[in-house]
Amino acid sequence: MTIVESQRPSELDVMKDVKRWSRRNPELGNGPLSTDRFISPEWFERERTELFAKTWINLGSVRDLEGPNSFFTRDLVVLDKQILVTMDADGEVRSFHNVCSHRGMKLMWEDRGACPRAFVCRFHGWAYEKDGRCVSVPDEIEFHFKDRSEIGLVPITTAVWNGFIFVTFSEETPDDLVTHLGPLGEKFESFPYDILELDYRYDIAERANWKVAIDAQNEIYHVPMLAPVHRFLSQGAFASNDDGYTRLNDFSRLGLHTRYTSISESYEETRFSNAVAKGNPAWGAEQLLPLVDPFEFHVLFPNMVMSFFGNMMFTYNFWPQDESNVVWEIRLHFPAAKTLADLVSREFSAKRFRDLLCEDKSGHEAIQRGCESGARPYIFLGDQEVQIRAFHRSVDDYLEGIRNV
Amino acid sequence: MSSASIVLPEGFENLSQYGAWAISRDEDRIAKRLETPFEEVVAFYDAVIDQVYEAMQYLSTRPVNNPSIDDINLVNILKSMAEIANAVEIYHQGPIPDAGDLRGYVSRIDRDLVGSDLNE
Repeated sequence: MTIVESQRPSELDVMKDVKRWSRRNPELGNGPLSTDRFISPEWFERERTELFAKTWINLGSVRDLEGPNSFFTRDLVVLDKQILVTMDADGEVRSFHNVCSHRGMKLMWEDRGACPRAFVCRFHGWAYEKDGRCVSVPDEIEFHFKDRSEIGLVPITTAVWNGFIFVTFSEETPDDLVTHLGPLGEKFESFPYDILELDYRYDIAERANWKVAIDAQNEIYHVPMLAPVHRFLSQGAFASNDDGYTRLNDFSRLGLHTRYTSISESYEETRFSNAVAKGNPAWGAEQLLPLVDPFEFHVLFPNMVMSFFGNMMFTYNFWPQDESNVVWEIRLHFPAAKTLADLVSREFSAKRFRDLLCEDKSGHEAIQRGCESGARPYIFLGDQEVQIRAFHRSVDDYLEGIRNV
Repeated sequence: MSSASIVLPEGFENLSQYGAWAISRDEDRIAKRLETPFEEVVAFYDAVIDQVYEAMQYLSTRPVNNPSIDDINLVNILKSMAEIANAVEIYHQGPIPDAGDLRGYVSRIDRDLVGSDLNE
C-alpha cells in the first residue's frame, strides 16, 4: 500500500518554533471564536439545512453489518430521517428511507440483523426486497396504484469508501464522495480496512453541542491537565516540550478535513500494563499502518473522526440531536486476535481508552454550560489548537456555500 | 458475592478462589468494579498482579478458537484485571472522579468466549 506523507517537520522546529502553525496557515487567522455557534438554535438550524442536508454523512461501516444479507437501521435525528442500510448477497450496500410506502410506518424497528426473507411492515404487511422493490401487498386488488414498481422503498444516495458507508440527502447534484473526501481520501486510498475488526462500540449521550464535543477531542493541549488518566498519559503518550506542554508534530488541512499527529515517547507504564505488554509482546508490535507517526487524528468533515493509536483505529461519529445535545458514537477497531493473550491485551487497550473518554464527558457538558452562561461571547484558541480553528473554518465556509474541497 | 471456586490452567490454581471475578460480560465486569468494596478490589488486584506476566505468556500459546473452560476462566480473570487496573493504579477508587457514569460505557459489542453476540 502507499500512504505518502509530507516530510515530517524536525523535532527542534516543532518544539521551539512558537506559533508555528498559525504562521503556516495565515488564512485561519488568530482571533477568538464566537460561542453562538455552540448555543444558538438559529445557528443549529443553519447547520441542519446548509450543512447536514447537503454534505456526505458517514453512517458507520460494513463492520456494522453482519456480512451479506444483513441490515442495520439508524435514526438520523439532525435531519429527521430514518434510514435502512442493507447489504445483499453480492455485498452491494444500499440505503433507503426506513419508511413503508403505504402509510408512512417505520419499516424495520430492529437496530440490525440478518435480512429476513423480506422486509415486512408490521402495520399491514407490505413487503420489500433488499433492493427496495415492493414484492407483496396484502389484498393488493383493493389498491389503485398501477404497478408495484411505483411503491418501492425510497432510495438514498449511498457510497462506500474503504468499507465506510456514506449517504447524502442533497437535492442538488452533490460532489461525489471521492471529491468530498479530497486529499484525505487519497491518503487512505489503499487503507487495509479488511484487516481490522470492530470490537467495541459505545454510544454516549451528552448534553453538549456536537462541535463542543468534537473540539474537546480535537486537541491534546488538555491532556496534562484534565483528569487522572489524561495526566498519566501526558508522561509520554504524546510529544511534549521541556515544560511538559503537548506539541503537535504535524498539522495539515486536507480539503475540508484536518489531520494532526503527535509522537509518543517512552514513559513508565503501570505494573499491569507492563506485565500485559511484556507477557504478550506480539500484540501491537506491528504498527497498524505504515504511518509516519503512531498517533494520527483526522476530523473527517463534518462530524466524523478517524484516528490511529498504535495498533488501534478508533472512529467517532458525533450525532447532533439539537443545539445542546449530541450522541457520541465511539468505535474501536483492532487487528484480529490470534491468541487468548491477544484478547486480554485488546481488552486493556479498550478499557484504558474508555476510562480516558469517560473522563472527557463531564468536561464536554461543563463547556456547554459555560458557553450558555454568556459569561463571555467568545473563546480563545492557541497555536496547539489550530486544528479546531481549521474545523470551524470548514464549517463556516460550508454554511456560506463555499466548497473548499 | 459468589465465592465459587473455578478451574484454572496448571500453575494458576492458586487463583481459583477468585471465581467471582471470572466474569464473561462487559456489563457485569463494570458492575463488579463499581459495586465491590474498594479494599476487596485492591485485594483481588494484589493477589493476581504478580502472575499477570506468566499468565499472558501462557495465554499467548493458546489460540482463540475452541478454548477450554480453564483457559476461559483465566482470560476472564485478566479481563476483570483490565477493568480495574486504572481504578487501582491511577484513580485509587472504583468510579472515575468527576466523569461520566461507567455504567453508560458498556460496549454494544460484547463477544465473550462462549459465543458471540451483540449486547443491544
